Amino acid sequence: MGNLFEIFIGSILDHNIALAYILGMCPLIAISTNLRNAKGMGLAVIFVVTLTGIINYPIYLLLQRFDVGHIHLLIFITTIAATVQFLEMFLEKFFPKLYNAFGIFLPLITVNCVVLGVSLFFVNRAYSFAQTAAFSFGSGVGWFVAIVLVAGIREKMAKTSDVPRGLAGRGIVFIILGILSLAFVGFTGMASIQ
Amino acid sequence: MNRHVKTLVFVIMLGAITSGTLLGMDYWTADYIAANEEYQVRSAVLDAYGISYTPGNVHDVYEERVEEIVIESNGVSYTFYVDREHGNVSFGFEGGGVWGPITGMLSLEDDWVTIRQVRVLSQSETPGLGGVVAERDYLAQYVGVVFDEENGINVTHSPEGDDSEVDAITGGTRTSNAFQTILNDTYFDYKDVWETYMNEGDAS
Amino acid sequence: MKLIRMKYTKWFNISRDGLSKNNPIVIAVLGICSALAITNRVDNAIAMGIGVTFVIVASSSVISLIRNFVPSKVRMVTYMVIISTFVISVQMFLEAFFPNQASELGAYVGLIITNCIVMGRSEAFAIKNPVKYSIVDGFANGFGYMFVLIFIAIIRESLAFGTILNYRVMPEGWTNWTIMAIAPGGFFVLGMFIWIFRELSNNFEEQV
Repeated sequence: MGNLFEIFIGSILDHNIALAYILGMCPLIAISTNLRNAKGMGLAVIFVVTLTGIINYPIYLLLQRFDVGHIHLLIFITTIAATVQFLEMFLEKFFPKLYNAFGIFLPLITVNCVVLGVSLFFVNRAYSFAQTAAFSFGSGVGWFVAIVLVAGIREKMAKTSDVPRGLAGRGIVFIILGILSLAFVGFTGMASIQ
Repeated sequence: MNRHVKTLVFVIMLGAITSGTLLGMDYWTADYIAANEEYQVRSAVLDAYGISYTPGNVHDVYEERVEEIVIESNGVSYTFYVDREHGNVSFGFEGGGVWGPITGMLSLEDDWVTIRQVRVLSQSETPGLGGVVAERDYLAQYVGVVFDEENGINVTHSPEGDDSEVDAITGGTRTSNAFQTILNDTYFDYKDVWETYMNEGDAS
Repeated sequence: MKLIRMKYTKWFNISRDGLSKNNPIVIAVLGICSALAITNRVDNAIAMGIGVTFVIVASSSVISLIRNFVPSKVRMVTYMVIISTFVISVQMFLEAFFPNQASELGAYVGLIITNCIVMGRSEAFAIKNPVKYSIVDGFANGFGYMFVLIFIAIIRESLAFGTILNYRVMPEGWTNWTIMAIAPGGFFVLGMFIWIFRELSNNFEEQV
């Protein structure tokens, strides 16, 4: 069980999927303009990443039986798209409130490379089912932490800082991300997730 | 309803065409890819033993100079590529890097602890960072490194170290660590299998 | 005269959009993941730039061809499936017939598939424009992407390793800046680059 906890913590800090592996940057930069949206998108990512990780795992085991090699990437993409589509319909029907809260973020997630990245990573690291679940959840949380940190800083900066005109908007986000990812370098070697 | 049917038909057709394309490509290229991989394995082994060859005669030279010993242990088969003349030995390694699997060949002196050559055959690490792991200049420093009986080899950032240590890759700490784990795990696995096999051989 | 007339053609506008006015990295901020990962060496930046250009052109023309049949609900998935099928097929072809090049390029395959520029161009342009314009657009965006990559890579490689394309450019005794080789260095250089580019092209973003 210690191992599961280590994988979970490691995938949030040491192996943060956004700040250490630099995945899912496009939505992170686009949606981190305010804290509210960032939280919505972050939560949606946690949800979808965990779900698709858990769904893709048995599918991958099944695929391994037939030794189809290159096809697994294509299957993962399809599974992710289907899961998101299904989730959207499900939420709309049964939890309209939740759907209104992060419904608009769901279609965007299909193209978030974090989701695909997590599915490819568990294959590469030969995780067990429990480890895959811990890792998927941890990675989602890691991305959530990253986007909320960036959005919080951006929101404060919009009120207090005098950013040069050329850097305003997305330019400054890179500088923020640079400093944050530098800080996360400090976690290197803290937890082993292999 | 018509719209849904159209969408469904489109998705099915798209899936059929794309997987068909991939399976067709796979079928068409599989033999060539297998031949290329065999060539790479054999040339890596011959390079490690310092045997000269040309692309034309690699298979003949290989058959003549190298003996493949396959040992079954716990349902897994281990292949050893042994130099008929000098007793040097090689075996393949495979494991997860940071972004994807890393595979290659590890060649040892006949003392089973000194590295003759490490060759990476395929990897998908970030080019320029972890990807350095496949570059010959980087791998050259593994030559002559000795596996410690307890800890195997050690990747380190310190400039001076003993002869079981190699440099980590600048900016590729995770890949370096993963590579160290792969080499050590493979080494001890194969060593165990080989020793059991030799002892059984002596007994009979 | 000819030049002036050219200024108003659609071809010219599309190319200018891709190269500067709507440069995929600097203005639209797409394809960042790969831009940051591989720009610590110039040769990698060139390889990646060529690969991405090729894939954008190819996938844009395919999507433009079938644009009238794609149901809007599943279009994102369609792009992804087409792009990855395409990239994987090319990879298999290279592995079979050009094994040396394939092992060099192997690492770029995943990066190209997840590169959102390819998808971005499909969504923003190819899905509603005829094939010939989609091809021009693909080239323009690919080159716009490549030139930014190469520029960043020149800065990072010279600071991080003291070399450009493996030729020594920094004086002897130059201390390598390790930070430039890893991700944070990429963020800083890209941020600075955007700043300079926007000042020079006088193209500012609204304060948000």
